[in-house]
Amino acid sequence: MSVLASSRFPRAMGVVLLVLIGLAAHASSALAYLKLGFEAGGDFVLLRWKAPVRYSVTDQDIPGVSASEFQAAVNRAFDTWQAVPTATIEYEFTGFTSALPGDEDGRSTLGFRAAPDLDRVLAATSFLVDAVTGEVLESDVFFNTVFDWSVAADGEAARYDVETIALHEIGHLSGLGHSALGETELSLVGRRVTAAESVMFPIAFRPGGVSNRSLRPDDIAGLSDIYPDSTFKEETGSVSGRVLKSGQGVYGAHVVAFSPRTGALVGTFSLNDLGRFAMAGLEPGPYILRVEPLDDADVESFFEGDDVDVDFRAGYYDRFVVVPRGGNARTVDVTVMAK
Amino acid sequence: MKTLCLVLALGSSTVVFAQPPVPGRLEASVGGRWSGRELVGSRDATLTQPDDGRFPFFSTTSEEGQAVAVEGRLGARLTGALQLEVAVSYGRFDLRSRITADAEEIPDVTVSETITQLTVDVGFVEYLRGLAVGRRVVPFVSLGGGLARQLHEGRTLVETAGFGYVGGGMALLMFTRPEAGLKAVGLRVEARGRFRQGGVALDDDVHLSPEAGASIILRF
Repeated sequence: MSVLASSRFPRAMGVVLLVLIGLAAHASSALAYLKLGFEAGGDFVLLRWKAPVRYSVTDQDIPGVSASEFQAAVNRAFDTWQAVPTATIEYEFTGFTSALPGDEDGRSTLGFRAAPDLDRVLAATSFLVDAVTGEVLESDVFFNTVFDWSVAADGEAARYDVETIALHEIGHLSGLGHSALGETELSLVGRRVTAAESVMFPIAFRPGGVSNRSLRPDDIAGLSDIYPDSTFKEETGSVSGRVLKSGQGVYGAHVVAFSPRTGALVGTFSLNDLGRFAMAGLEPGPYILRVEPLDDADVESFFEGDDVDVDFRAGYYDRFVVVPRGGNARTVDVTVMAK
Repeated sequence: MKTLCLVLALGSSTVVFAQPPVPGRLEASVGGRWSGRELVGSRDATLTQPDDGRFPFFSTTSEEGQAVAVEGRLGARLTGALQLEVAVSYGRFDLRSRITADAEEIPDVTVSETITQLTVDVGFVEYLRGLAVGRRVVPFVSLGGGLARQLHEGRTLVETAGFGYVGGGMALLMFTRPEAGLKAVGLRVEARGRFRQGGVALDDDVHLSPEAGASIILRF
């Protein structure tokens, strides 16, 4: 059974605003993969932590996973993100808590919670932000006890791997939206993912596997774009352009850059009605651009609204796009054909 | 043993006397050079499968197309037959990738860009005067190496390749005036095997390709 490792959120409350993932992508015209953001003080603000992310873990055992085992697995996932060499984000475990994820207490908490109504959601990340200043006040991640979980080093049959799912949710917590770098097939119970090249793909692999415990170039580029270190913008470059159909911009096209030198795949989307897209964090060199409609996951996993254009044929840009060191490749217009 | 040494010495001096001189100590030449295409890497775009296998997204096979360049060369004779040369060339070629086997059955397509290349190399030429045809056609062998600065399309990125070559050819001296400042004018044709690594190539392998060139030579 394919299960969304995605995000559902409680409602916004009071003077603070709870951010939903899809809104950010819809509003953002910034250089982006799919980065999260929100409206604050009348402006669009990218979701970005200003200081080390301090998190606690709910002191609650579930069958098969003790609280300490859960914390160790989650800690490994945080370490994986923190080890990205071109990003500066830091995470700090502050201890166990009796609070549950979702409690609005100013503390970022990860833990198990039963959410039987979300029977297709493995885990979810929520945010509490200051609607005026844009400061991120807390971010909670809950793991749904409707499912069976494992922290075994090699995984356990029919159980989802805590570290794998934590890696995905910590990507959200850090400000990343979903990636569309994956392939799915439809089955009687929904979409089943057959392959993915980003831990931020919105559909989890089947239970029992642990192959998604490591970050891919798409994840690394995305995190580094949000939290660049001093060398990131000097050593990597970016690509920007438009996706056009019959001379008009295409909204929501999935644009993939492939390096035939390194094999790296990095994806983004055209994020406005002009069909504009941009992606940073690419190693210098020639890239192949591939553009496809967003048809390997539910569109709602990436965008809100029903104006995403999927009525075009996948294709390639016929020139190499050469990414310079510390700059932007020439702007490209990729023309696609209607189906 | 003494007899054998004497025979060898006589044979050697006989060859020396048969060799036509290559007039002048300095040589300048201007000409053109052609390089053959070479495969520069194949790589598949793949996605991770649940069992850690690789899902083929699409495949690429890349090549550098044929190149044509203009070339200038300066040489100085070190001995009667050995010449040291410095050469500079400027040319263009296409870098191409053929994309096949797309997972969503996009028809095969080729993406490309034009590379502008500047090369500088240092080499040695040994004139084989003993194999000369008459006094005007002198074969030679060559050996050298250098650097290629390769500029991607759009002038966005420069990359550097190292290369070496071995080859040979003929120098045809159309007229000689040993007593004048310009001592000879001729034509030089040459074929080489070039091995190169790095630059815009999409892999780390050493690539071998054929080269051929022709130039007008002036000897001083």
